[in-house]
Amino acid sequence: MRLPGGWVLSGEWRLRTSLVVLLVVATVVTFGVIAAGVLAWRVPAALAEDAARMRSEAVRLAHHLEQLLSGLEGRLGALAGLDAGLPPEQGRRLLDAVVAEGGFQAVYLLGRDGRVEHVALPPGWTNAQASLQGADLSRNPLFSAARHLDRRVWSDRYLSALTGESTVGLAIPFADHVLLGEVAPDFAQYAIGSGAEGRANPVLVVDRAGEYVAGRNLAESDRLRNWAADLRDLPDTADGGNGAVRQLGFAGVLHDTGIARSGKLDWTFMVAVPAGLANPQVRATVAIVFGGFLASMLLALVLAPLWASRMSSPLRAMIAETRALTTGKFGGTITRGPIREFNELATDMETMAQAIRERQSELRQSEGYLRQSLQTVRQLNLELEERVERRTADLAHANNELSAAMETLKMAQTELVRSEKLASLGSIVGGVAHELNTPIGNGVMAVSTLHDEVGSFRGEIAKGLRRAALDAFVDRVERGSEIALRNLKRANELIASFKQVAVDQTSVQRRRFRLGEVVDEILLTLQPTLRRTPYTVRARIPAGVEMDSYPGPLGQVLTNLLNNALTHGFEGRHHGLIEIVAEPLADDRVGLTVTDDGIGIPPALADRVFDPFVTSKLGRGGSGLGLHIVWSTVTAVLGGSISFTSEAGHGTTFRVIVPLVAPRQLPAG
Amino acid sequence: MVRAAFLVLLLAALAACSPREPLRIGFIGGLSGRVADLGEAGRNGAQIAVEEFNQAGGINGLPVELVVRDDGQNPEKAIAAVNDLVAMRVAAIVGPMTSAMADVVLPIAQRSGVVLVSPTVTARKFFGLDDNLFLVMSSTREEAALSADFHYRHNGTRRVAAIHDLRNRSYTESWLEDFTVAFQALGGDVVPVAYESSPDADVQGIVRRALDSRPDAVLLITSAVDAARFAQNIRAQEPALLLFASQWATTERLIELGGKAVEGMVLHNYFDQASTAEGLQRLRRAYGERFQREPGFAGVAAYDATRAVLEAAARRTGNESLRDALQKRGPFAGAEGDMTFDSSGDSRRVPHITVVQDGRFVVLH
Repeated sequence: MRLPGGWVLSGEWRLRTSLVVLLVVATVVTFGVIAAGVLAWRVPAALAEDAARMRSEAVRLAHHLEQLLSGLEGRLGALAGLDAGLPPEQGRRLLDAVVAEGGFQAVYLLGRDGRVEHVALPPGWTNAQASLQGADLSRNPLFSAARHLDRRVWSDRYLSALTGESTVGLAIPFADHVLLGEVAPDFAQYAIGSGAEGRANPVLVVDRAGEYVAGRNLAESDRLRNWAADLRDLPDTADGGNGAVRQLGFAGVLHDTGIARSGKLDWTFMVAVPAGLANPQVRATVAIVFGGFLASMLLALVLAPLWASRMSSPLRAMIAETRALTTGKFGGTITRGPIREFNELATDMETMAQAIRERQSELRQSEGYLRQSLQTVRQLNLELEERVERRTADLAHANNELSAAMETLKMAQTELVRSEKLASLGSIVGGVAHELNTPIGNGVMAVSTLHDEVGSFRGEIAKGLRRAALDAFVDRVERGSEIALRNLKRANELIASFKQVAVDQTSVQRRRFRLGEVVDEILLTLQPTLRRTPYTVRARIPAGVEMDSYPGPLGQVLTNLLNNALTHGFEGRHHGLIEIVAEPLADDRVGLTVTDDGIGIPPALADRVFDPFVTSKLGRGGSGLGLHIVWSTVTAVLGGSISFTSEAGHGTTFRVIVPLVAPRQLPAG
Repeated sequence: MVRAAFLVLLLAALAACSPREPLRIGFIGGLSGRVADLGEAGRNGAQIAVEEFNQAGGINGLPVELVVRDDGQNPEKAIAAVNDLVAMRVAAIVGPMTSAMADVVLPIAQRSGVVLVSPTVTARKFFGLDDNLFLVMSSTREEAALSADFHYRHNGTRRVAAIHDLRNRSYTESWLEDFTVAFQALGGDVVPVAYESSPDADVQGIVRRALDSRPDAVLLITSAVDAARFAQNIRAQEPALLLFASQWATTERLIELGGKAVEGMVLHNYFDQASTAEGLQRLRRAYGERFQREPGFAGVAAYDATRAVLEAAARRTGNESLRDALQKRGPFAGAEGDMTFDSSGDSRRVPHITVVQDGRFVVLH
């Protein structure tokens, strides 16, 4: 927050500043509150006091005047009383004496017709005396009033017959005369003067018509104006008694005015004191209060920074010394000051510094140890490296040896495989031979027997051929040839199978075909055989499976699997179902499953079932090569894979997965 | 600190708090001394006029303020008073009430451009001049001529002793001269008797001087107080001698102080006390209520003068000066009738011939 004067009020203040502000604000607020309280109590009280004082002053003035007037009245009255019985000359002298006493500027003795019989004037007014003598004052309103009312009358504004100036007159009728006394014009001023000395307050006396009669401390304009409007509707207390208070303007300033009326002359007496802030007492009070306020604020502004400084300097010292700590200079003590909390903080700081120092030396020690350890470690590290190098060299060496050994091993393996192959080939050949041996042997035997029979027959013939002998011969020939045929067929089959095993891979035909068609072909060829059995073959081949592969081998695979199921799976069974299902697989492959619900593959054979010469019917017609051929064809020719699942007593499922596009054949190697 | 200064300022402002500045009209007249009756009546008449005007809304809703100053029939006091009024920036001054004071006051008013509208100045020398002085009554010449004619023809007066007050020389000498010229032109004779007015003047001596010339009538160009005194003294010796006076003496004081001695005195009065003019009746009523006496010619004239000033101030447009307004924007309604000022700021209003009958001024028709 930006303040005028370039100050910025951020959230953070210097301690000194906030202390100063606190002190100043506290002082100002305190004094402000006190000042307000004092003023609120004192000012109205002072004003009320002054107003009451003014009122009593006015009343006193009125009384004073009335007393003076009473005095004058008394004198003139006494004179009137006396004059009745005195000789004229003496009466005149008395009149003169009265005037000489002061108070009256002229006393007239008027006859019944208003003529001046005698006028007593102050000394030195000889001309006037002469000219007034015998004057007709019948039209004088005071004379008329006295004559008419036949009692003492005071006038309030009376025009002096002597001077023409306005003054106060008193007329006292007695006998046939009227004593008319003109009061000296400065009488009123004198009355006020003697009654209200030593004050600077405006004092004003006005007559019944509101015209100025006398006054003190008045501005010209107040003297010259008419006050009747201001004095309208005065409460009755104004007359005699207690007076009244009103706010009137004197010299343009509102004054609390004490007002009293004199009954005798119907004059109004006003004594005023400035009202409100113009009142000197109020002013003084306000001035004192504000002076005190300013002084306190000044004092606060002067003292506060000093005090704040004193409070915050130990803190500053502490901050400096703490800062020294942060740069690593320990050892100094922090100066204490008058604030306990700061001293406690200083003690804690020193303790902390001590602790830090100790910690530092500990650290240095540790550092030393650490360095040592580091050295050691480096040393060890070096050694380790050397060792590692050595080991690596050894390992490399070993590796080399191992590689050599590996090579040797590989070679051995290849040899092994070759020899294995040779062995298997050998065993195959052996097996083939063994297999062929039986049927060919049998055939040879049968034919040789036949040969023998023929020989014997010849003999028979020679002796004379009997029908029985001929029949017997034919029988024997038939039997013999059946046996020979059967065995030769068997040998043919075997050779055909053997031929299949050694598949001539380069002469196999590759083309595009629909899988469904090939499967149907196979099933067709199988139909004659199937017709004779109680078993069923079902095929579910989706229509659009197009392959670019070797249909012959694929058909062979299928044939072999089916044959397996028929001959092995359904052995001893009177019913059976073979399902052939093809489903397209991802990556452009197709899965072909051949499932039978036969007796299953014995677990003992499961691992070796794709090996050559593995059969459950060895010697009983199975060559043991069927699945091997299948496996070989699927993997090598069709580029796929084969697997099976079998559960004894429940059936077997062979799963063949081959790509739709068979891989290009590599030359057999 | 700033707060303290602000508070001090606030105090000062409170102490000196004053309302909006109203239009100010000054009044200058003798409010003390022997001719105080004139000044007082003038002030009272002006006061009534201002109060009436304010009650009717003032000028543009603002009240008019009457600032009163006393010249005490004293030149120094008069100069101080008029300077004071000028300093207060009054729009115009009603007054002065006597030609003697006009002598003193006019140059200052002229210099500072303030308009003087005098209810009662009638000395001839002030007429026909294109100056800041506006006059409500006719000059002494008209009055004196009227007087000379009246007395010569109606009363057969042939010799007049003229007692005149040198203290108000401008007026009295003007009046005397005008009367003498007129009376002599008719064939009469005037014996001047000069004197200086003072409380202890040798009235008897002056009267003796006047009567020594065996006049048919005595002319009193004096104040009411002096006229009363002279009347008393003359009557003591010559009960039947005709007495007449200028308008200056036509105040209630004359009757108060003169008693029976002034019965039958012929005077001049600005207005007809018996007039039924509504404005006059209203004025006499208000004046009587307020001040408990009759306004007299000075009161009525001052009322008329003030009314003219106020109406001119209300009627002027734009930057028109008050002086121009007074000259051009008449006629202005007075108590008894309308009045206008000519290009010299003079009026033509000849006081009626009046006689004292039973203690009252009665206009002779």
